[in-house]
Amino acid sequence: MSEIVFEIKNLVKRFNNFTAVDNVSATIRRGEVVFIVGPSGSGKSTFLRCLNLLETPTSGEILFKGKEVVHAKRDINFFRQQVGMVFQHFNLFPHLSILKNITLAPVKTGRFTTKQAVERADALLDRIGLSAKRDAFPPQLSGGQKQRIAIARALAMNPDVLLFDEPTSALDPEMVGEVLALMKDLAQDGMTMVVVTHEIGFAAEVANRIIFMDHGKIIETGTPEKVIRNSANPRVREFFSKVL
Amino acid sequence: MKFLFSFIGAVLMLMFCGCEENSRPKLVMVTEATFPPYEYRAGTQIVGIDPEIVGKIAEKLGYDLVIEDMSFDSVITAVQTGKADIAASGITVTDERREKVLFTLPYVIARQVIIVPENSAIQGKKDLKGKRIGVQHGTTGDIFVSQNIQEPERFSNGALAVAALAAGKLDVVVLDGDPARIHVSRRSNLKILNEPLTHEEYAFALGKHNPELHAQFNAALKELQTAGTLDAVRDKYVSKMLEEAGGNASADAGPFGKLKNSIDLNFLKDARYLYLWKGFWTTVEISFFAVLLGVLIGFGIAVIRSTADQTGKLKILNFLCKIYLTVIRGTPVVVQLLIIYFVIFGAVDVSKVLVAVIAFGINSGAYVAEIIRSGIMSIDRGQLEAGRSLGLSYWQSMREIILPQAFKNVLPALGNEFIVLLKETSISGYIAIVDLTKGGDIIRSQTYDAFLPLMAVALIYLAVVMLLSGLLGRLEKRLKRNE
Ligand SMILES: Nc1ncnc2c1ncn2[C@@H]1O[C@H](COP(=O)(O)OP(=O)(O)OP(=O)(O)O)[C@@H](O)[C@H]1O
Ligand SMILES: [Mg+2]
Repeated sequence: MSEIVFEIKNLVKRFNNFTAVDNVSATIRRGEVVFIVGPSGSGKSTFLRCLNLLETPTSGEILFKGKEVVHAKRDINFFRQQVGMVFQHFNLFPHLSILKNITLAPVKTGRFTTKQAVERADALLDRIGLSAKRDAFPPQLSGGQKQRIAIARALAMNPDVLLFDEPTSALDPEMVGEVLALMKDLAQDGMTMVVVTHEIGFAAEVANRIIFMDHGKIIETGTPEKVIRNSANPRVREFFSKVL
Repeated sequence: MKFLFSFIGAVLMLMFCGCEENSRPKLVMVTEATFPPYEYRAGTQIVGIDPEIVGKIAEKLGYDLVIEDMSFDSVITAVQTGKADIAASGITVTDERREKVLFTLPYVIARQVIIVPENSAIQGKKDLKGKRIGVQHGTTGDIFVSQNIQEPERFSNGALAVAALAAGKLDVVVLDGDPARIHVSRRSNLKILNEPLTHEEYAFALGKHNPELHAQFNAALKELQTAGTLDAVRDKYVSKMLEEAGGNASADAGPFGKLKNSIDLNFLKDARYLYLWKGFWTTVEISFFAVLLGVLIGFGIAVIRSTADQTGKLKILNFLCKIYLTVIRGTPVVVQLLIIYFVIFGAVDVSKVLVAVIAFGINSGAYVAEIIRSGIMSIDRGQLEAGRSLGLSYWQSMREIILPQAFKNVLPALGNEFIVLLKETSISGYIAIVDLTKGGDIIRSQTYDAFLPLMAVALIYLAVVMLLSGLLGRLEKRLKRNE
């Protein structure tokens, strides 16, 4: 089996008195494509955001490549450089050109020189077929293009793992395809990915493993085949009978 | 940011070191040079009865005389706090003032006279009650009328009060006898009543901490008096003023000729346009550096405040910032300027322009801070999260992602604040800076004409503001091009 990227132990995240993530443990290995699904409000996004500490866990441990990260505040920026994140609303930097969006972090964090960063950005733009937009600004792009640029921006840091929080749910239907195609491409390339989504069909096609969350807990985990079609859990079966 | 700090530091240093060195000790005299014939400006010089007498005494005592122009209501404070050695501004001896300063022997016995329109029914003191009475703010006339008759209407100088009387906005003006004679000689429709309102003694004022200088001054004054010098000086200036006044009044011409004469008198004669020109640059200098300082303070405070709001850190700093914002936004800028000049820099000899830059910068900083903070708050949280998720630190995300966008969003509001600041610097005259507004005041005090100098000052401000608005509009458009 491949190296463990994330090891999560007894993770709890409370907002005031509300427990959004309730004692979750999980392991993510290099090259795995893990999809997190479940009803709305079940804590999927909160769990995902805990993984790169955009939310600070209330208790529990997160080990990244074997090292505890929750309490290692000093290394938080370095840790995040190795964990990319793609947001539902893209969150591109509207005041910077596409090229600058992609090269800002690699250069400012010192991960790459400017020359290296630009070369990498051009290669990524070429790969996602948006070289023509190199000097455009985010407001001039369509939603699908924005999300592909956001993925390229995350990839530019050469991360060990990419986190996606509903990357297609803010898109018009005709643009969902291009983003999913890029994600599938990445998955086939061996990128380690953790994806929160409502696109069950896509999950069934691409995922190595599916984690099903309900009320802040993981109530089932396994292959798509097992979780989506053959679950023993009535909550899970009910959920998929509604969305499929 | 670092660069900006050191740049401003260097500029401030330069302004500090503006003071020159001299072999003989300096004697600093303060006056409001809008009170002819006692003190007024001729070209770049401040001249008149007071400067001449004090100059003679300084010469006798071996000092180099330095004259500073400031508003009359500040001259007593200036000697009291040690900012100046002597106040010589046609100051009347009163018990109240005696508590604050040491007065020399009187060098003039002056009358406060009543000026009325030619056809006025007012005969004397007994008719004044209930009338609209104009005075020069802070003068004996002001005090006498306030205490013995009623609240007067206070003008910042005598020329304005007389102009208001001539325009029918007042029934009577109470003014010192000598300047009153000159004002009236220039206007055909005004007269001075024979019976003066009150007599008074003019004396120079020194700080209470300075009894030796006071004694030396009195001795020198006595000598000048016995030699007849005091009377000679006074006669010289009064007759000079009367002559000039006569000359102007005789200029007879049609409407265009009148306008031309008026322009000649207000702007060309004695190169008076220089007051506006130099004042304009002083206004620009103060505004420019105050804006820089304000933006610096504003950015700093906005970042501290929004960091505290978003992360719960920097609690103490945030608290201090809140106090600063409350105090600065809760008090008038004039009061802040006077406090910074007289209290904070009371005992230090610093350039007044620097004081103004600091005062207006600190004042503007509070407004800029809130403008920029609102800009930061208007940026979607996702922007900071995206930056942090890429491994940028909080400060890097602020600097590279949040602040540039916030700045762009609030540019119109910032531009507006700069325009407000530019106009606010017009109170610099309170600490005797000759800015554009004060330049206009000086011309008015010399020509007794309110209209043209005020119009010129207004037009210059307007032109600068329009230019600024235009530039800001273009900058905004350029920043918007990317959207
Ligand atoms: N910052 C917050 N403060 C308070 N409550 C929060 C906060 N963020 C999330 N929650 C709550 O935590 C619960 C889980 O939210 P989360 O966004 O993780 O759900 P989700 O599974 O991603 O739902 P969806 O599918 O709708 O995105 C919700 O009830 C939500 O209201
Ligand atoms: Mg969610």
